Amino acid sequence: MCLECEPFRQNIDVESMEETLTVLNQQFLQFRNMVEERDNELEGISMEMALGLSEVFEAMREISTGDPSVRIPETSKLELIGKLKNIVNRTAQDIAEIVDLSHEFAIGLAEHFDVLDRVSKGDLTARIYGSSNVELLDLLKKVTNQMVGSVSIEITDRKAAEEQLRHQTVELQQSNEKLEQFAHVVSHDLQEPLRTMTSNLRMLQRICKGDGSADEYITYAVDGANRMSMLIDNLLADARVGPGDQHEEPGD
Amino acid sequence: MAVEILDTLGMKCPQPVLKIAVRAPDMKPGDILEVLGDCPTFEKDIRIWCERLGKVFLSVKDEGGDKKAIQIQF
Repeated sequence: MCLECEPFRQNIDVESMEETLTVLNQQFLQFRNMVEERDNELEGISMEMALGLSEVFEAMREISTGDPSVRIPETSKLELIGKLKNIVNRTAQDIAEIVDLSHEFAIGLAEHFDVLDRVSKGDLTARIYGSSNVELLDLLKKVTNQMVGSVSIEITDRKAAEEQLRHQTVELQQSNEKLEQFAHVVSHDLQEPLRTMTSNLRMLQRICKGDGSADEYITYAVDGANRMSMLIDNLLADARVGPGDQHEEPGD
Repeated sequence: MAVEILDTLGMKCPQPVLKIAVRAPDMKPGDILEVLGDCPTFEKDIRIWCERLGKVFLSVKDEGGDKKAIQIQF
């Protein structure tokens, strides 16, 4: 009811005025209480929203700096904030799984790198011992260890073969040296009587000078001795091995 | 015995571990590598790396904030 309006003016009297004011005051109080309640309610919602968003913001900040292990309580008077916190927690968990996996791969990769580096530097005992929850890394570990094992066996076998070959070469060289010494001694021992024989035959040839038949036979004998000497020299040359060896001229 | 420094500040894990793995072949037995990092899982990752690769986790020093200096002996 408006105090300025005509119907109010026409019916103005103290009693009705007081009654009207009383009603108005009551209504005003009710309205004020209602506004205060609404105000309190809105303040509570705003506070809850501010606190919830602060928690979400802080969690997001920690996740963004590389720590996805952060979790926030999902309780809230506001359903929307509760759901938002739940989404943040699930996102953090997903990121944590990916980060854990990347850590696992990084450690596994570092381990493989270390073992292969040690093998390349000659450490054939290097193996990957760590276990992994990632199936692929476990399989890679198995394959790498098998490969290193095979390479190790092959290198060990090759080294043994090389050692054996080296040993045989030394033995062969020693054998050749002995054979050469033997041939030299034999050659010298055989050449000596031949030289004596040739020398004496030539002396005999000088004595028998004028005897045609004797001269002819002695010449045959000297030729035969010379051929034998040449055969002995060839035998000595054949007995020698090695590209650096020089054939000695027959000595006196 | 040499002490070498590896700066991984600002790198997110597991990048520091990969950096250490790359540096490792140049280190001789007994050498010390001091790694600087500020990733939240930095110390944990390096402890795991040392354990798995048979290296010695010598020490860790807080350098303020999230920064840490970790010494590894090869």
